[in-house]
Amino acid sequence: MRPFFFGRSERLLFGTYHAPAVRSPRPGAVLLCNPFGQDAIYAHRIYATLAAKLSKLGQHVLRFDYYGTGDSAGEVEEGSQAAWLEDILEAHQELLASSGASRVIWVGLRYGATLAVLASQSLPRALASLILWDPVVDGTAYLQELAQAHATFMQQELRGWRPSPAEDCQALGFPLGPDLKRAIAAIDLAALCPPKARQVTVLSTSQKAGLDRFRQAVTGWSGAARWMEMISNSPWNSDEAMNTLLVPMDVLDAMIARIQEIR
Amino acid sequence: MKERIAQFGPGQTLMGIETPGAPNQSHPARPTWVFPNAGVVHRAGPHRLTVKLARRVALAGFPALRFDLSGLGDSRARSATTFEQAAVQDIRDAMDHLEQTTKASRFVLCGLCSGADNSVRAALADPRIAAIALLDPYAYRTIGFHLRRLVRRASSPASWQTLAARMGGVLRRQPRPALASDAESDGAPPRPMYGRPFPERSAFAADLRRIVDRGAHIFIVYSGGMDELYNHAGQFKAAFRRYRLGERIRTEFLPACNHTYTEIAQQRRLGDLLVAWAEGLFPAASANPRRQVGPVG
Repeated sequence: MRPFFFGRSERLLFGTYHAPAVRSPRPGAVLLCNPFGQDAIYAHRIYATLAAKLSKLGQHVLRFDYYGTGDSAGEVEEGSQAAWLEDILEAHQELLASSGASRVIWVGLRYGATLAVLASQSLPRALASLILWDPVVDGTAYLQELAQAHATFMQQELRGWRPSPAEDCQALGFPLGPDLKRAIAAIDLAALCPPKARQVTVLSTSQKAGLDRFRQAVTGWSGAARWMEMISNSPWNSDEAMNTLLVPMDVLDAMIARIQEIR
Repeated sequence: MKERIAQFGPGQTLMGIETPGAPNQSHPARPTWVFPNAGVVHRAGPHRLTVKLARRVALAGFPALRFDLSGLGDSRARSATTFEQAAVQDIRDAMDHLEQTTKASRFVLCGLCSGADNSVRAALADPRIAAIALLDPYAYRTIGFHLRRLVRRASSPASWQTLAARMGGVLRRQPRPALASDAESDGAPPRPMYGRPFPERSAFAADLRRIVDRGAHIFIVYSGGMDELYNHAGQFKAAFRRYRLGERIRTEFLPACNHTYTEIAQQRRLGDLLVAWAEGLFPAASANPRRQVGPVG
């Protein structure tokens, strides 16, 4: 595991590269795209576990923080969806340079999956595969989910808590500026062009808004698309997510099996 | 403010991020802040709170290190030791690393919840720690706590509705649900909060006394999330009056903040509060803290 900063000096990104821990590595590399906010706090342990397992199977892996998130420079307020898409492309280049791999797979979780679909459109060459884990399909519904999760959590935490006007621009401790909210609200994954990837796998563990329509859209995408449904109680956007050491190993195992199949 | 990656400890398996102090504010005598994990959340902290606090103190001229204790985040677990023992050794390894690489010789530890508990343990073990900032450390009820809670309940319509429901239960000869807190009074051991077993009040007082007796300072901030144990700004003083802990302990009560400082305005408020306390103790213009850190060891 090699932690490092990369990118432009005025907006350094924090990444952790996991080199293959076997003598004959596979020719593949995997980029892990973070979700947003509280989901990203939970995702740290999940991605660290996934990266370690993939590394033992011979894959090169890079996990990283978008600008203004995690250990990267800046504050969330300075970030934007457009900038985070650039961050994914920058991390992709970094992974190519670190690994020398020619075949790259992206894994995205929740909002990170949605960003991965969007960012892939700007790639010069198609990805070997794109794995979308519980993607955010309907941006407006996602914003409502964040607002609800914030209010529920604060009401549990503080006696007599009432939402104030400031609550509108934050979600579980993370700022949600007007530009970011506008960009998220415009997300309609089912209406997007197919991602630039030879294979797409959607791993669905929870019933979220717009999923059925998205499933229909995925079926219409050219190339190999696979829809995998798994029952999992991943505590997205909750206090439970922050305090748990648990990692949904069944989901990770299914994902690893899928990654290992990719030629 | 360009941050650096720090890898240290046995086999360089502990991992953290250093934030240098802002050059226009830094002073060689200013201690370096060290932030261990809050609970099991990785070094960024709940809602990225630790990143924000580390950068806030650094902006005020105090270098900072946030890092993962062994077995958490990106740090590898130590073998054959308890989590508490490992945490103290991890913090000492972090200070050794900073001493070797930045010449830092004194430190301020800042921890939330279990991070506060680990900060106390480390301050007992290592004299280089000049001050500790404890966010929601152990708290102990007083008679005043119970009275205030009683008044609050009496003025709450919901409490009367509950009472009416219970009276109905009595009339129907149903057993009255036990109220555990009703039986507790000053001196009774409180229920553990946030999954931490609390030591006896006298034991916690003895630990704090050992820390201040060697000249270190303690800043305790209780949040509204400790509502079941702490409900007044003066409660710490009342709870520990008999132990005469002296003037090196300062406390603050932030009832509008929850345990992990979820709301952004409250995160900023906490950062400002910590900086104001540290600037009072370690002014930029002076080589020494206002109150000299006394004999150590």
